[in-house]
Amino acid sequence: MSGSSYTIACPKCQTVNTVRGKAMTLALTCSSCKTYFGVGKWSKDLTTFGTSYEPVLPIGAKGKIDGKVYEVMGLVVKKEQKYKYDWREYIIFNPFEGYAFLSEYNGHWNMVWPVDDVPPLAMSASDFVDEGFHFRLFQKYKAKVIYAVGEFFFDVVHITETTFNREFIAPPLLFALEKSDDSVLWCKGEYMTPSEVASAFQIPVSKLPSKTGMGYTQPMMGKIKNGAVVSFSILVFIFLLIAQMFFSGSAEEKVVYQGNFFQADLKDQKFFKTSSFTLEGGSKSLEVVVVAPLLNDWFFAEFSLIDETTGTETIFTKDVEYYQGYEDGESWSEGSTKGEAFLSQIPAGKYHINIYPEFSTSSHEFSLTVKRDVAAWSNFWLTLLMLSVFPIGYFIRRNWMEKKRWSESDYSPYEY
Amino acid sequence: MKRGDVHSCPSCNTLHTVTLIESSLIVCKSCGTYIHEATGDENTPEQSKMPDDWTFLKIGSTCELPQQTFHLVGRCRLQLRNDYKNFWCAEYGRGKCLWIAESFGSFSIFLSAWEKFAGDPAQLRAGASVKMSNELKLIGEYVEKCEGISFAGEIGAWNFFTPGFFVVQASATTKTSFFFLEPKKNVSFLSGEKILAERLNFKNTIEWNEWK
Amino acid sequence: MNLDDLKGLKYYIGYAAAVMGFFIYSHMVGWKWFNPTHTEKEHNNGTHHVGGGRSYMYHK
Repeated sequence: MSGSSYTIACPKCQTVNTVRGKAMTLALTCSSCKTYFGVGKWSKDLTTFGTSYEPVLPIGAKGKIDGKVYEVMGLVVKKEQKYKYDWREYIIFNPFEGYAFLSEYNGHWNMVWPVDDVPPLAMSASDFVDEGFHFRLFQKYKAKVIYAVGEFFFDVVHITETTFNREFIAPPLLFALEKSDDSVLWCKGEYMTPSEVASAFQIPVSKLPSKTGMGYTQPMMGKIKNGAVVSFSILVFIFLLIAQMFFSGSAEEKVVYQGNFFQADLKDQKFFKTSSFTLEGGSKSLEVVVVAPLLNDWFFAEFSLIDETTGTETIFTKDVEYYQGYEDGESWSEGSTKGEAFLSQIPAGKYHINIYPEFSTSSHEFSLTVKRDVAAWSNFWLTLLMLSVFPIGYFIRRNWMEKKRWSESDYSPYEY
Repeated sequence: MKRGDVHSCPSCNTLHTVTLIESSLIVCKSCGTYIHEATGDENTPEQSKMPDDWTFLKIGSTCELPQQTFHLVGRCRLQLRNDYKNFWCAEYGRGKCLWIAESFGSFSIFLSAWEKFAGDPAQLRAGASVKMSNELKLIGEYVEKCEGISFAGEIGAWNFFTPGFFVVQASATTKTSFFFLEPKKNVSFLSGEKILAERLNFKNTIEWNEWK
Repeated sequence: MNLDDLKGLKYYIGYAAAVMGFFIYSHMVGWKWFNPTHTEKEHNNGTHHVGGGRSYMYHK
């Protein structure tokens, strides 16, 4: 600490303490005998603590949070009176902003500051909405100071013992209500990562207590907000749908070949050869549609699409079968007389198709239609599925973590 | 003391010209002696040195709003048990006075004059509802005993010169009131609004460069 | 949604952009990702074959 000539003598050991907070400081611990005392004439109590704690943020250290420089004035260690856990609160100060607290529990940090804008809440409410955030009651407690060092702008020991606290969370935010017979104080808070705290005070993060468990205001998966995930997902899905509609609408589906084939024309040959056809544009899809007039029969063919320039063959097969009947008073049918083969990424060029058919006993003819640039809807559904992975995974994980977070609370909305 | 009056300090004879239309107290700029005209209604002010604190305002600071500039001419500092309040007396419009209350970077502005509280003083508790009018109900924020009071500069209409009274602040959204309760006396209050420091646009303030 | 929200979604945005990019590219080149039509390619060094030596490897 530097720059203060304001001094107060310890009522117990008479050591003269330099007081950084000047007349704003209303209680402090003696730098020599560690006795806690109030500076006012009205305050006669002296408190000594049976424990001690080394502040990880040194008293007098300065740190920059949200562009504002704060100085660490004091540290209190508080113990909850029902479940007996303890946590640490550093009181930090800036003359233009007032005071705030950096609260640490299990390596998780919150910056908490008094607010004038009281949230719209009846005193008995267990939840409320403030600026679009839904705050839920997380805990009620009474606490006791088990250790204090540094300076305080109020009698932190007395006030802690006489206030009843309620905390409402909407991670990463919180509202804390401290109520006593003489005071109702609302504070707002926000989760800080240990690296943010370490960076603010320019100390190595390894010097801060390591995180255990989940912080009660710890945001999940970084700073992702539910609303933002939903909004962005809707935006992306709309964009995907528009893109698919555009591609479907602009797909040429140009018939580049159409022909009918009869078994009788085969004679001694094993295959039919279509006439040449030209595919234009760059790499695009090709759909080959086979229609065979079948009834309780099948048709099969092997096709070879031949690039007449490069000699590259793309070989594929297609079978068509169609059955129908009447059984137990009901008619039934299975299959179709039409079949489509889809060929991806066929470059432009001059092509023909060799067809190696297998006719069954009653099938003796078929027709062939070749279409260029046909849109595939299956890509759309797969993309939709892939895009859904993130929001679905996020909400599943969020629900799991929320349940885990609230398992620490007596007011959990979840059942376990 | 009226605007334009010239008062001589009883200790060092420094002359002081009253700038406010109505002034309760002037603190001698040379020796710190209180210059005060007793009206019989209030206690005689007890001299108390202004404590050193971290407020960034000072006498001479201005508050520059679009339609009006206010000049801080006086300061009344209340030392409460767990807080402090600086009531800054701001002069505007040729001697008019308003109060700006300040504590730990929080500000309220009070344009209206002191009023007597017609309600039940027992209402004035932390967490209790205080009916100000049919339209306005405030909620008590705290009750604090004033343990010390100090003055500097020129103080407008003010009736509380001796510590020992209680201060109650009650608010609802930006509306706020300070109630001053003295045993066996009427309860006086100031009504105003909470306001952000940025909106008050203070100039000529203390820089406190080590916090920048 | 503000800038902070978008910063929080940076991985999702990157992932969505990659998926959408892949989707658009596939449409441009006529690529159906899961194509039930099984195809095989044969290269004949520019020789124009008319199906000689066909093995009838695919059969119902």
